[in-house]
This record gives sequence, C-alpha cells and structure tokens, in this order.
Amino acid sequence: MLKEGDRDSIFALFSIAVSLILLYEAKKPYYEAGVADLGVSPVFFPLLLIYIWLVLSILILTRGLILRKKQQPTKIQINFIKSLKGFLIVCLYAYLMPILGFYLASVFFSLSFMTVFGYQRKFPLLIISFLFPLLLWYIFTFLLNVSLPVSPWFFRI
Amino acid sequence: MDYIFSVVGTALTIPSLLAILVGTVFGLIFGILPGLGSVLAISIALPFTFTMDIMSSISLMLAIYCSSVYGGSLSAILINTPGTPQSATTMFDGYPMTLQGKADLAIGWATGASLFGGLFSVSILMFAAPQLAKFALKFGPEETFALICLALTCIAGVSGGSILKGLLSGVIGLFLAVIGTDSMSGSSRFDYGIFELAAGVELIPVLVGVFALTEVFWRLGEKIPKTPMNELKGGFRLAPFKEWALRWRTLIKSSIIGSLVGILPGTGAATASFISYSEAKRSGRFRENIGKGEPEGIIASEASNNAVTGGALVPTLALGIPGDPVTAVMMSALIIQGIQPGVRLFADHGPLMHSVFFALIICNIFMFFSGVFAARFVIKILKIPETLLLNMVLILSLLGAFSVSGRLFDLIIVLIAGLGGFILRMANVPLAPVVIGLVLGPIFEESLRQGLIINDGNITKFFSFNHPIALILIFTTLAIILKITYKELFDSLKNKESK
Repeated sequence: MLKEGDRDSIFALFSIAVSLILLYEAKKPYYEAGVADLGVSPVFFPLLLIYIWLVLSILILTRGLILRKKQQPTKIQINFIKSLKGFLIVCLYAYLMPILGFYLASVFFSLSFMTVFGYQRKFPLLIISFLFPLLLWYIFTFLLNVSLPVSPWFFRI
Repeated sequence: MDYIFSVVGTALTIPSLLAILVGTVFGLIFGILPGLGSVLAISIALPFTFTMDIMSSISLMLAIYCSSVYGGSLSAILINTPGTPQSATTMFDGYPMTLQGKADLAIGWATGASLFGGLFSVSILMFAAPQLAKFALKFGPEETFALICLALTCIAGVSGGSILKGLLSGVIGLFLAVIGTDSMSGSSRFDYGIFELAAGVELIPVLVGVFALTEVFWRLGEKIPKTPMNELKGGFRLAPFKEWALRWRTLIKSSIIGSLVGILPGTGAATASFISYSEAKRSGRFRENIGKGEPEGIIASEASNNAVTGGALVPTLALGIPGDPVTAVMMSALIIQGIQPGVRLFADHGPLMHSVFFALIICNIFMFFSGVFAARFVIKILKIPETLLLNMVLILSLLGAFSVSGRLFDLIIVLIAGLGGFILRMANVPLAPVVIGLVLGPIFEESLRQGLIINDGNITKFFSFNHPIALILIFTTLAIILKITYKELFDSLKNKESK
C-alpha cells in the first residue's frame, strides 16, 4: 500500500541518484574538448541532458511531496512475485541460449515458462515448446539467412 | 504513363503482396488480442525485414500498422474490451449492437469505416508529405533543432500521465542515444569500459525490451478478470448503401480529424478517435442514439483511428520526425534499408515513395478483406490461452533482438530495457518518449552542435530574427513547457490548499 505521491518521490530520488552518477562521469577530464571538437566538447550535449534530467527529477520529487499529503494509499494491482518469476525465467533463457543453442534453450524455456505459469494442457504445451522454436529456427536459418546460436551437441540446430 | 506503371509494378511484386498478406494477418491478430497492439506487433516483425527487399519490408510494416489498428475494433465490438486503446470508443456503440444480436453488422460498419478512413488518409499523405518536405528543405540545423524540441515536448506532453514524467522519459531516450562513440570527435562516451557499448545502444533491443518485455512482465503480474466468451459469435454484414449515405458527414469529418491529428506529433489514434467520437456526439445526425448501439459512433471512432495511419506518416517521411513509437519503428526499418527519411526523401527516392503510397492503398484493401474473413474466427483467436501467447511473444522478442547484429550482448540490453520499462511503468512514466528520444537523439545532437559551430558557439543566435522559424518553434516549445510545469505544480498546490 503506497500513496501515488510516495511512489513518485521514491522514483524521483532514484532518478536523481542516476543523474548524479552520470554527472560524475561527465565531469571527468577525459571528456574535455579537444582540437577536433571545434570548440564544442563531446560531452556538451550529454551534460545538457543530465542537467535537464536532474531538474525534472527535482520537480517530480517536489510534486510528489506536495501530492502525498492529500492522498489515500492505494494498492498496486500487480503481483510482483509473478512478474519477477517471469523476469528470472527470461534471464535464464538469455543465459542458456549461447550454451545450449537457440533451439534447445527455447524448448527448455517454453516448458519451464508454461509450467511455472500454470498451463497444463499437454498437447498444446508440447507443440508450442518443440515445434514453434523449430519453425523459427527454419525461417531464420534458411529463409532469412540469419545464423542462430547452435548447440554443442548437434551440427546445425 | 510509364512512370505510373513502374510505380504500381514496384508495389505489386509477388514478395510485396506476400509481405502485405502476412503483415495483415499478423497485425490483425495482435490488434484483436487485448493489450498487445501495433507497437508490439511492429517491433517483433522488424527483425524479419532485414533480409527483405526495400518494398517488401515497407509493405510488411504498413500492413501490420493498418490491420493492427483495425483489429482492436473486433474485440471492442465482441467482448467489450478494446484490443488497442484507439478502439476504446468503438466499444461504446459496438458492444451494445452485439448485445442486440447485431455483432456482424457492427463489424461491417467498423470494417467499412476503417477502409474509408485509411484510404482518405493515404490521399492526405500523398498530397501533404511532398509539400511539407519541399518547405522543410529550407531548414538549417537551427530549425531542425527547434523542430525536434517542439516535437519531443508535444510527444512527452500527450503521452498520458504527468507531463514532467513524459519529458523525463524523452530525456532518458535522448541520453541513451549519446552512449557510445561520438560521431563528430570519435571519442567514446559513457561506455564505462564495456567494449560492446562503444558501438552505442541499438534501437531494436531497447524497443523490444521497453515494449515487449515490459508488457509481458506486466501482464504476468496483472490481476484482471477474464471476459466470458462462450456465447459469442462473430460474423460480417455490410449495411446497405442507403444507411451509409445517411452518415456520410460523420464519415468524412472523422477521416479529416484522424488525418490531421495523425500529423501532430505524439497525439495518435486514441486521441483522434476520442475527438471524433465527441464531435459525432455533438453534431452527428443520430447523436441522440450514440452510446446506445448507433453505427454513427462506430463510424466516428473507426474512420478516425484508421485515418491516423496516413497522417502519422507525413512528418515521419517528410521531416524524419516520427510522432509515435510505431512510426519510429517504421523509420528505423527505412534507415536499416539505407533510406533516410527527411527533407531529401522525396527528392532522392521519389518513385519509391510513390510505390509506398500505392502499397498503403493495397494494405487498406487487404485489411478490409481480412476483416471480412477474420470476423468469424475472432472468438477463436481471443480464446488462445495467455500463457501460450506470452511464451511465443518472448521467444520472438529475444530472437528478434539477437538477430539484428548477432551479438549476445543485445540480449542483456533487452533484459535491462525490459526491467527499466517495468520500473518506469510502475512509476506511471510513459514509455513512448524513451523510444522516440532514442530515434531522434543523433539528429538532435548533430543539429545542435552544427548550429553552435556555425554560430561561433553562441546558442542565442538560434533564436534571432535571422531564423524566424526556429524562433517561433522555440518560443512555442518554451511556452508549452512553462505552461504545463506551472499547471502541474499549481494544481497539486491548489488541491493541497482546498483539502
């Protein structure tokens, strides 16, 4: 349970922290203007953006602090555990792709993703898990000529 | 005559027609399924265009764009849930017609109005884009800089939610574009010693992460009630010409509204349909029945949202400034094919652009017939289990992002962008300005730095009477920023005092 103003304030503080980290990086002597820059440093535009970023974050923080006093807390209609599970499975998929190859990683991903999220009908589950990645592999490899990561155990797939 | 045959011939090749057919079906499915929509469809399809010829790749994108906008109306009519936000107003009269047992007729009205709106907007595009490009040939770096400032402010301003957050979102996008090697000095910026970042942040992985992954993570966690669909039946029936003739005024007025709103950066089809629907409610012939199952409401909504497709392409093609994420992706598709949208586009690639206009007409016709055939299968499409669907979207998204450059590093970018997009969405920050900022970033920086070099580093010369267009554009931008910032802070203070 969080007020919208509180949520904005937390986000704005996070945003201010990011902009300060970027500002610290932009102030390094490495970025000073050289002869090839014709007087306009390569960091001129990024610095301008960082300052605008900082000002906007401060304005959002101010607005959030004003708003929080007049609001009632509202419940966020999102189950974070489910979203986090999804994120972790996708991370695992991305990690496994270069190790197992596209096809095997996709089969493993599909089976685990659909099982974790409660899909139980076996026939569609197997069809989607085994045939859909195979179809994509065929389209990319033979029709679009895009090489996909291959597994160490098979010749091309 | 030979020129016309050549233009039509380029658009009517077998690969182009096949691309239109596939794009229409793909876009229609993504439009019908609530929550997916045009941006997701077009970002997933983009990697497939890399090895296609120019005409086929543009045709695929255009077909997806048109049919995904239209597809949203089918679910709005049948299950009272718009497939895309732009069809929200279609629901107000479409669903009551379904309850009256006239779903097939409602789909007929929506399909006919979408076709008319789409074709009307092509004619606007054909007329306006070359003229605008001709006018914009006078633009120097100062004017380009000022124009992008105004476009980004408008996009951030109307993306929904707080305008301050919209502007911040645009700044984040612009900042992502500066990461990597500076094109003017050759020095690397903000790469933190990561070799892969020296080449910059690619658009596609960010786009896929911000739109596809964020949407999937959101939907996985979202608590939404399911709509019962067992009793529903789709179908297609076109009303007699006499009925259409009674509502011609709304049809034309809505098409004009849609085309004009489409030209304005950041507004989009949802805004157009709401304006048009309100206008029909105010001045339509059957205004007293609108909201109770009156076809005039469907016409107003559907003609305007499909008319946006052509309108939105006007600034994208003529100025190289996309007004929304969909046209931003389409612009990247053109850039990948070696065509730079902007003021020189019509001078350098005139015949190709005329073929594109013709392809857009074909896309609208295909969209009409796909609607006729798909109407009876809509319920089957809507019954696809969400887990299966999200699983396929994730595989397609990661594969698409990887195939751009074949770098596994891009998968990391996708994941970071997905997580970042989720955090921004949690904080009610609009996501569209991030992508548009990333697309416009390089041109924006280049025009600013070129302008500074020309004017001896004096930025005030940008706003002098030597550059009246830039002056007007910058003052308009500043006025908008000041007004919205003041309004947001003042409104929150006023609310506090009244409490």
